[in-house]
Amino acid sequence: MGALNSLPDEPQYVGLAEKTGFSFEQIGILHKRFKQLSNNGETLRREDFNTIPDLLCNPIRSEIIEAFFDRRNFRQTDAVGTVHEIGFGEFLLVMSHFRPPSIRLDDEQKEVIRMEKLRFLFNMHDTDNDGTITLEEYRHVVEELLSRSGALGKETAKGIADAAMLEVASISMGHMEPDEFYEGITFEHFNKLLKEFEVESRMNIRFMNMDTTTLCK
Amino acid sequence: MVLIRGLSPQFLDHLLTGIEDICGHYGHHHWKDKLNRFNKKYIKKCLIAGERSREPQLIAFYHKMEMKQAIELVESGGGIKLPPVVPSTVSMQNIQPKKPPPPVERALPQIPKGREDEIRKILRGNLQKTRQRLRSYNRHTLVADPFEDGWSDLLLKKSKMIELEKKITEMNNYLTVPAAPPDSPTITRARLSSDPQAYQRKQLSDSVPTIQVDLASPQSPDSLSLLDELQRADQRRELRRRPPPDEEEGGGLMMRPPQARGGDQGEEGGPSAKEQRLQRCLSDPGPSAEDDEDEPFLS
Repeated sequence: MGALNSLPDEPQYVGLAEKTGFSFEQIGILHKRFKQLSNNGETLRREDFNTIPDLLCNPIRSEIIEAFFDRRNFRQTDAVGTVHEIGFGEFLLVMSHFRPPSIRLDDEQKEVIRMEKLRFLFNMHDTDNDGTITLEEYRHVVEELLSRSGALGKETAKGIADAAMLEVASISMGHMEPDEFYEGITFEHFNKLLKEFEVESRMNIRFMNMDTTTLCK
Repeated sequence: MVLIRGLSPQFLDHLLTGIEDICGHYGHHHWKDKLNRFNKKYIKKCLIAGERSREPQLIAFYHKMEMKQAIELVESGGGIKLPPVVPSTVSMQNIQPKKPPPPVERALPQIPKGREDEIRKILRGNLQKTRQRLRSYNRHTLVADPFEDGWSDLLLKKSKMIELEKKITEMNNYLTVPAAPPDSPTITRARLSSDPQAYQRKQLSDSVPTIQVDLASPQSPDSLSLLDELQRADQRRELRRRPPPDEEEGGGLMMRPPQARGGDQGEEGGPSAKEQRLQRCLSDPGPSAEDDEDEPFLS
């Protein structure tokens, strides 16, 4: 394949391959894409994502873009906060959350992968990084999800978010005094809620089928 | 669980489509999303004539709306068991951060008036009838649809309640009780008699002075059915709105706001006797039913 011959930064790729689990070939393809988006620059900024026309129609566009600049997704322990620009390494690290788990993994390793993917989803909701998805945060997501597509009004989406939150609170807290306050959905509870969701098999992109010829301009 | 689980696939779909777009990879999410958008934008408008091109959206909307209302109902203590949800004391109060709990009965935010409300009413009217008609062999009941199981009963009851409430307000204007305000003792007693189990009143002796009410026209079937409906509706309404039993047991006489109980002034003395009398009156429409009353209120 032509892509293999045009890999300029092979030593760097070794490190990235180890960190992310991507093959050299996949890394090469994604690097090409990175250069396209960054206009051959070394770093990507949020504005660069606006050059992708299809992304503009996406209701949760801003959450997705933010995920690329969220240090919690850079696989560095306890890193928090956001950055203004990212290099290829970070780009690849964020992408790696969508790699399908290898079939050869045992249950424990699969569980690790599942937690990583779930954590990524959680981070997308918990924007202020206080460890909980608050009502306000959840409302925001639901609003974007449901009312941006035009099907529902803002108030309705808000109502649905409230109802969902109420559901979660009822299930996790059972009984609450009128003056008690439910802080929000913790990661632990988020995990429990989505236990049967099979995130490890659903939250994947088939990078293997990627081909340089199909990359859109 | 239902709502979060319902929303998650949508969220994930958009997420994966977005990632594919970022990669520049035309994966199946990309195509699925593109096709859906194209379909929504052009095909539906061309192939489905007129207003109906907006319908599927509205049906999905209707379902989400009804789900939301069902949750509201559970939250407000509707007294209808919902299988997957454990009744709890958690309410909107517990999750709203700053605002004090809203004073209206429905704790969840109301949808603003306008098109959405209109649409909802129309949809409910039409779709509910369809549901009822097709209940016998609705395809949703053939293939076990967990989404609809248990919800459909809830929704029907809720819609019946709303319709009855509407009827009540309409009927209140047409009651033929002479010189009686909308919340006359007649109606009040009708409510009381309908709900013996909800009001755990002690049995008082008949010597306590009571005020009996002669129904204006107990014989006419119209008023009977009217009361019947009122009773049923109010029973449901009471179940929804009544305060916890502890409050009721306290000290005998209690003044209630007119909407909830009717303006009974000190008449709470012999409710059981009244109940009996009224019920007798309903079952036996003969005019002699009220002869043994001590103080006929209306003669």
